[in-house]
Amino acid sequence: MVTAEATREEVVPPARAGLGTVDYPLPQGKRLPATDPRHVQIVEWLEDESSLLDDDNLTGWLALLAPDVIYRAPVRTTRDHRSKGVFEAEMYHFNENIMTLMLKLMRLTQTDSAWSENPLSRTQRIVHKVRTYETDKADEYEVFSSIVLIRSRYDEPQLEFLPARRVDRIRVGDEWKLAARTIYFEQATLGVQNLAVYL
Amino acid sequence: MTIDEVKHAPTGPVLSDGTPLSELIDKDFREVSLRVLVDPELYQLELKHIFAKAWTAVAHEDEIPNVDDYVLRYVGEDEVIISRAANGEFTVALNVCAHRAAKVCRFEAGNAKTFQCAYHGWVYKSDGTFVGAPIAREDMHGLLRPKSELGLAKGRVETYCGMIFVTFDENAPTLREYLGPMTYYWDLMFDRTRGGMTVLGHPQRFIIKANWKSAAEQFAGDIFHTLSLHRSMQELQLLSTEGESQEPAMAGVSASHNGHFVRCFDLTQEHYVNALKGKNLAEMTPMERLHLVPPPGMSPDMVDGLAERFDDGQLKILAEFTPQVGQLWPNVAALCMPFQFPDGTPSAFLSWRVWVPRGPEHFELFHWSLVERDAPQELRDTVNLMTAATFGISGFVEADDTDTWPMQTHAARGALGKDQKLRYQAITGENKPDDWPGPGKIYAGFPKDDTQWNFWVRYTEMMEGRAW
Repeated sequence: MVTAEATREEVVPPARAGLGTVDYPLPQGKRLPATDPRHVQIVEWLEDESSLLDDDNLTGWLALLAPDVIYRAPVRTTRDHRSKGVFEAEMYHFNENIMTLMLKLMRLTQTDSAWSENPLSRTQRIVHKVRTYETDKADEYEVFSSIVLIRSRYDEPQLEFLPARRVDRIRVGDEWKLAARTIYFEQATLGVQNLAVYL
Repeated sequence: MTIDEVKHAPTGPVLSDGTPLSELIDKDFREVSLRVLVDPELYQLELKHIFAKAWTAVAHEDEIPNVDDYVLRYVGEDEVIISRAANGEFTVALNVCAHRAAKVCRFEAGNAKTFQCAYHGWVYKSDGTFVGAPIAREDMHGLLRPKSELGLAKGRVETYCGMIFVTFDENAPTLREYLGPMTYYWDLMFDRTRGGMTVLGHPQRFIIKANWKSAAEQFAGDIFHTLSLHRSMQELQLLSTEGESQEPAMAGVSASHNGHFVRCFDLTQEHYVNALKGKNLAEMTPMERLHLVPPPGMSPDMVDGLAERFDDGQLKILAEFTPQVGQLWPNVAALCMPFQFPDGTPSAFLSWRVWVPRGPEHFELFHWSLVERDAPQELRDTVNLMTAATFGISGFVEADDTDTWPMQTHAARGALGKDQKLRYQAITGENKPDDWPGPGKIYAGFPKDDTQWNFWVRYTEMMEGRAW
């Protein structure tokens, strides 16, 4: 049995630093006007990107991800309206790098028993309020957008409905890549049984 | 109406159509009627006889690290405030104002010395003790009851492995007594180091369109479903295999006590774990083996400390039959499993989870991700990634479960479906090996239905009012 109970008390002080939290970020760079061709291109890219997911073209979507991609959706809590830090700094609904995304997308596309998405969900992503900003890197833009994921499962008439805000880093060049995406869901308790689909 | 008051009759509770619970859970054939997954009367009895009595986990200590920190959580359908008091102890109080039943706390997490109900302004200490009502000279709290009777309902709090457990039953045994022999195994998953485990943040919360018992009966011992529902893991060659057969390694030992469960995975065969291949396992001590294959979520340099914490029997189990998944009756489950990234980087998934009932046909999954507090940052990060990738709302393993559990609830709604059965007829029987050092009811070998049936035995006891 455990023999070091007393030792634990000596080593760990009773009160510890709180769990890290963060706020919904503010854009840092200069905003591109809606008439800027770069803005128009980014909007088109986001439309094409979300269409790949709507069409269940996961292989095509994976090709848009940078090898160093960070894809996350932090957990949030319902707080006093003056509270700072409603999002968790280290606890996520999604926490993915290229390796976990490749593993999961390989499962969905190449195995016969990825039952969470067989039959497939029917989905639509409504991407709107796209705001584009320059960053300190000439080939990267910070992109704020809103998204509503609508998902239909089996013969259920009720739709799953997930509204969120996204903050992306899009790397432009010969091949455009998604370098980072953070998804901020509106719900503290998500009303869906899983996130076997992406947004 | 339900004849709950005659529950101490030999038949136990009787539903309003005259059906006794004993008819729905057939002990001779080990069959459970699907009706228990959707019946609203049984659900109300569960809230009363199970969730208002059993110890259940609500939070991790590190979610409320400082004095007056609090979180809101659920015990059954009852919302409760979990606070850290000035003496470092934890308190639990029902979040229902003693005046007119509004929430005295509207925020999921924060720091507060007192809670003032916004509706009429009654004030409570964070442990639920009544402080006063506004306009004291008018005695707005009335004089018919003393102030001592105007507090929020209070429960009992104890901790285990850093998790805060509560019960609202003053007759319940202590948490240690309640867990009994299970701590022998669960310590090996979640109380292995001086620093102990911490959580990465407040839990994921999400809703599954299924009765809570779909998840709970599975985590009471259904290892077998991995072969079928999670077959994609085999297809991706992510599971250890049974020698030449290419079937996943299923051998192990299950321990069971009062509806609690833990599964210890057999690591005595060298082909189960890559790092053991080509080693002469028979001649290695448990500590030598643990250095070779550290327990899930531990780095090699943390292994030395295990020898101080655990006795020889526990070290042998940790090295040769690692406890990896289990459930504490009725609804607190946990995972501590090794898992490699596709490039071979060793990782693990570590999680506590609670199935909180949300009506007969839904439950809410609270999913905490854990790490060893003293784990190096790189290990902390890879365990965070792997836990999220496998379990919880975006976990590719659990996604298959959460898409399947609703099918049982769906089936139970039918006039024919409600009489269909969950069957637990694959029986091992207690077969504790002579050299098994651990306590509890022991079922060694291929995982069969014994411990899941024990879940329903405990369910019946509590529903019949025989909680303790």
